[in-house]
Amino acid sequence: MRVISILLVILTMISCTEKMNIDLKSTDPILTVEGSVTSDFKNHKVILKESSDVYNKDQSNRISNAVVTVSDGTKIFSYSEVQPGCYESDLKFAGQPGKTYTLNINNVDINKDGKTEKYKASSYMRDPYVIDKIKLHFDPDYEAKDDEEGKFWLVKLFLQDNPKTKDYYAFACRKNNILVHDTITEIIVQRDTYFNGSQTKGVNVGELNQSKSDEILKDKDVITLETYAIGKDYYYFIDQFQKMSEDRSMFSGPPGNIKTNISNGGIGFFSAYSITRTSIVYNKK
Amino acid sequence: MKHSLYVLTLLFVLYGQLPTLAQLKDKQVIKTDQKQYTFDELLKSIKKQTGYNYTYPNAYKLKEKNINLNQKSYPLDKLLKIVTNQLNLKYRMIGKQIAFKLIPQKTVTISGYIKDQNTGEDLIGASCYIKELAKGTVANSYGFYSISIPSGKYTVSYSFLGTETISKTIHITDDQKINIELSTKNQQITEVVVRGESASKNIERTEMSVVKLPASTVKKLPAFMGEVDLIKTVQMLPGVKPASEGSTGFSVRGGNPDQNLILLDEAPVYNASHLMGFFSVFNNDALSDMKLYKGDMPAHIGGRLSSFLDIRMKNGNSKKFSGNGGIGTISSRLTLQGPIGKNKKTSFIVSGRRSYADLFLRLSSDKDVKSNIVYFYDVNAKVNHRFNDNNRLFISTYIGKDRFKSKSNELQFGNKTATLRWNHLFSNKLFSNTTLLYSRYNYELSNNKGVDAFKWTSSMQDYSLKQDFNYFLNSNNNIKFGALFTYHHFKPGDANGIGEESFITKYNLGESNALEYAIYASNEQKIGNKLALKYGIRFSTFQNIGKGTVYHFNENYEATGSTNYKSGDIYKTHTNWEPRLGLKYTLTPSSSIKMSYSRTCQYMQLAQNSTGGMPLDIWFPASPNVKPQIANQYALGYFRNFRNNTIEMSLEGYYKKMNNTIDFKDFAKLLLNKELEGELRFGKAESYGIEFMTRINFNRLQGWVGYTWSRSKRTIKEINNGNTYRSPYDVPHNIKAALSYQLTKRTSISANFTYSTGAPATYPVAKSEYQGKYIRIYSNRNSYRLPDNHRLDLALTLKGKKKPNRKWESEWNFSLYNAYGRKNAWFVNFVTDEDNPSTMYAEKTYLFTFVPSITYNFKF
Repeated sequence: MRVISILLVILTMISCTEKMNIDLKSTDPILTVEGSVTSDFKNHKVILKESSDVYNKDQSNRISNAVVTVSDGTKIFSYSEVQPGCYESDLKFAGQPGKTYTLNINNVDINKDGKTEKYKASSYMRDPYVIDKIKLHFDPDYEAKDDEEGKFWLVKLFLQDNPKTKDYYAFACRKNNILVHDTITEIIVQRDTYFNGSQTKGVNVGELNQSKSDEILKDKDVITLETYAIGKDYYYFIDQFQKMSEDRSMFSGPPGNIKTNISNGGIGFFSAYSITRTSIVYNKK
Repeated sequence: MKHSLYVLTLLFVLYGQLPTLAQLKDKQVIKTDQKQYTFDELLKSIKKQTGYNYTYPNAYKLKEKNINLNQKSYPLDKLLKIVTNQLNLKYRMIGKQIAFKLIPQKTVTISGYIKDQNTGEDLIGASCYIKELAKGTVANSYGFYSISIPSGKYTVSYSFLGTETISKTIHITDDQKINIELSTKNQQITEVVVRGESASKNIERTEMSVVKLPASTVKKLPAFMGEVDLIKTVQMLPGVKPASEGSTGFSVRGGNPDQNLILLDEAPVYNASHLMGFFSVFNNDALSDMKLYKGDMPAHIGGRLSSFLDIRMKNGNSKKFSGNGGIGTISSRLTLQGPIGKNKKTSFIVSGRRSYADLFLRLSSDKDVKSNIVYFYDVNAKVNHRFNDNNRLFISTYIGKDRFKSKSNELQFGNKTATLRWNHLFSNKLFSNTTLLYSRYNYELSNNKGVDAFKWTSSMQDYSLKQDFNYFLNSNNNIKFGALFTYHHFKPGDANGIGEESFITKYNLGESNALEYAIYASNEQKIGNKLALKYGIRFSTFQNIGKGTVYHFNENYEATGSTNYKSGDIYKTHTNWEPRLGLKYTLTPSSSIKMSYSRTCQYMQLAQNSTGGMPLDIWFPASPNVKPQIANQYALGYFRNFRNNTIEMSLEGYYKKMNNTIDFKDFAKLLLNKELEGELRFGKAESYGIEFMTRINFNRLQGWVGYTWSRSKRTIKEINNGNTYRSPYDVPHNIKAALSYQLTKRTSISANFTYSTGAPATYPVAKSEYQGKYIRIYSNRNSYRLPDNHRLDLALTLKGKKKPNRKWESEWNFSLYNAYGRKNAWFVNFVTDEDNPSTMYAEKTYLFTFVPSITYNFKF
């Protein structure tokens, strides 16, 4: 929570840090699932990796030779491994709002006991949100979500929240059709608790840091805001992931394991969501 | 007519002559060559010299009783008076016969106030001791004492730690008011203080698990950044641990910081910290006395599970106008006090303190830093008026505030308390105190930038009426009874978005209200000379009252709906019986054992998920969804004094079982959450331990050394997979020492040392890549520990030369916090390595190493 940052200002002035050695016990590896079905018509992806020790310096091991399928209740889409640990649907398809997508993973032996395990995850696809419009706004002295400060172009959102439903939003930006907010910690998530049923009047949902090379705006650049209609569980997964990635402070509660919808002790998330895209062209004039 | 007039005159003259004749008879001189006679011997001698016969009752071995004389001769009447005085007799002369009778013993009460001679301050806990009966009593929180004894002649001594002892030989035949003033002036540091028999000594008190510290002791110890801090001193006591490094929050016997009841002149203080907890709200200059109950809670106290910290403000010097103050590294202080009016029945004290860190920020070249505002201040004020010996009125208040402001954020928070108390003596045995109090904690937070732009306020208020009676039935029974009524009003949060950019439009958590009642009665009873019992019962009630909203939760703690209650609707009542028992048995004149049991209930708690705590944490009440927390504590202790009570040693073991313990789910959202109760998880907790403490009260060397072994665990179904886990305050080994030594009349040194096992911590034990970032997989809750924590603080105080005819006295205080620069971990982060983002390393954040400070204190 950003409000805490004010309290931390003083503390950072008086505290120091130092590397230290802590012995951590080794644990059995765990399957990590990263997958989604969106309303886009494409080959959808599922990535399988295994967990490693905290101090492990190499990239995570990919899990190959798994049998991966996604079902929408009537049809089953089979997936094939296109790169080690990366599975793609054999067919292109677009997820349909109102359907529940279920991921099944078989033929994985993560704990290497010779017996294969099965993993499962389900996610319901919500209707896409209707965006009235977006605007661009320049702030020369902005404090971003990740505590970075400086010159930012901000994407301002105008929409009507549905008063009857609890809504969960996620936002990411594309620049000239390239996703700039491509990691989970760059996505902005919001739930409608504090504005349920309201009309948003230009709230900032996209932060384009003008000191990051891939986010600098040039004349005639097309900025596209992707609004994801995510479910409650995926909202908490992202929110908790982002909180977990922040540094701890004296105000942090005890850390805990983040939410997952993968069964059988797996971690990560398989999510189905609709995407609404709204574009605007940046005119330098 | 003439004749009758003559007769009358004659009668008159004769009548006038009669006593003269009798006196002549009594004035016969009796020779007494011995210094001591037995009663019988003396009477025989009188008979020999006067021929008077005598009779006396054959009781109490009267015959053999000694009579002490210091003259070689006495007139008969004077001699008989001495005899009757010394032996508690009366006599009559009938002709040539002296008839002695026993004076029927009646119960008389001596009572009064014990005060400091120099300032007129009440000496809380000063003792009154009657040598002949080996019985005594201690002055209550208002300096009042009362003891009922059989009439007779006694040696009564009054004493208090650090003052002279006054002994008086008094013949008490009727109720008597004796107000005593004890002086600290005549204490020479070279002289050996003899702490005689006293009812206040550690081994004789029935209470256990209690530590009393006068403000003067607190002042002697090293202070962090030169800010003398009562709470930091409390943290140096065995059984007490700081909630986190540098914090004023503290855990007593493994309990949570919000399980400590902190009363300042009877008013609860809900957030005792300034500046993120580095300093407490208590300005030592305004305080007179502090008492910490780590268990064995007296029946008049309730509402918290772990401890009770009773802090008393000074009443103000009733003898003369005086002032004192100090200029320190962090803040400056000024206290003024004195009598009001000629008759000195009224006195006042005003004490203020303000920090000035922000003044340094203005020197910064950075524009943003320059515009930052950071400060805190405190004001303590008190007036007390003595109408007469039976009526006294006190009005006291505390106001404190912290303010932080940066470019886009602003935070203000503070406490306000006000207490009005009326002491009334219904009789010399029945003391009454009526208290009316108000306490408020509030904060205001605003942010004027970006998606979070908002203004957010939160407050809680208490209005209480308390009636306490203290009935000093006789020298064996001290009865206390009374009642309490409190109205709690909570406004946990009201947030409003500012400007169009904000996501927040309006979010109001509403309000809630509660009524709390309690009645209690207790007695401290001495049975014979060795056994003393303490027993009491408290009956407490807590009611949720509208206007308010109650959310309903399903088994997954998800809100399924809510019910609104109208103003005045009582929608939930919790009641509890809270028995309190204690026993003391004197083994030898210098040792005793004690036992205690106390059951305590807590109806309000702090939604605090971090060990450090922050000013935004809110208090929330028991409700239809939240059961009151209950603790049962058993303690057993052995107490032994050495060297004329100048060394007090205690060894205490305790076991505490807590029910309806509250913890929070992972990633709990405790702020601005209407459904806060859905973030709570309930279970059980237990803590146990052994505390060993040696308190030294020599002339030059004072302080204590302590060791504690303790454990504290929780079991909550939904946390840590239902497995028992360490509470955040589970610290097995703990060594504490706080000592001060008077080098010369003007120089003293002091040191604090603390060592403790590292606090429990939860670390990641594995990681897993997800979209280029890593999911951390954590260990079981609190299954790791931070590195061990230890620290030494030193201080040196130099008093200025006292110049005759000058009221101004000054001293310099130099202190060094963390003298050997130990880098104690405040918390540990696992940081992604920038050179290789696929790995992490552990990094500790530590606070202060070598913090020197200088404080200049003065008084006039």
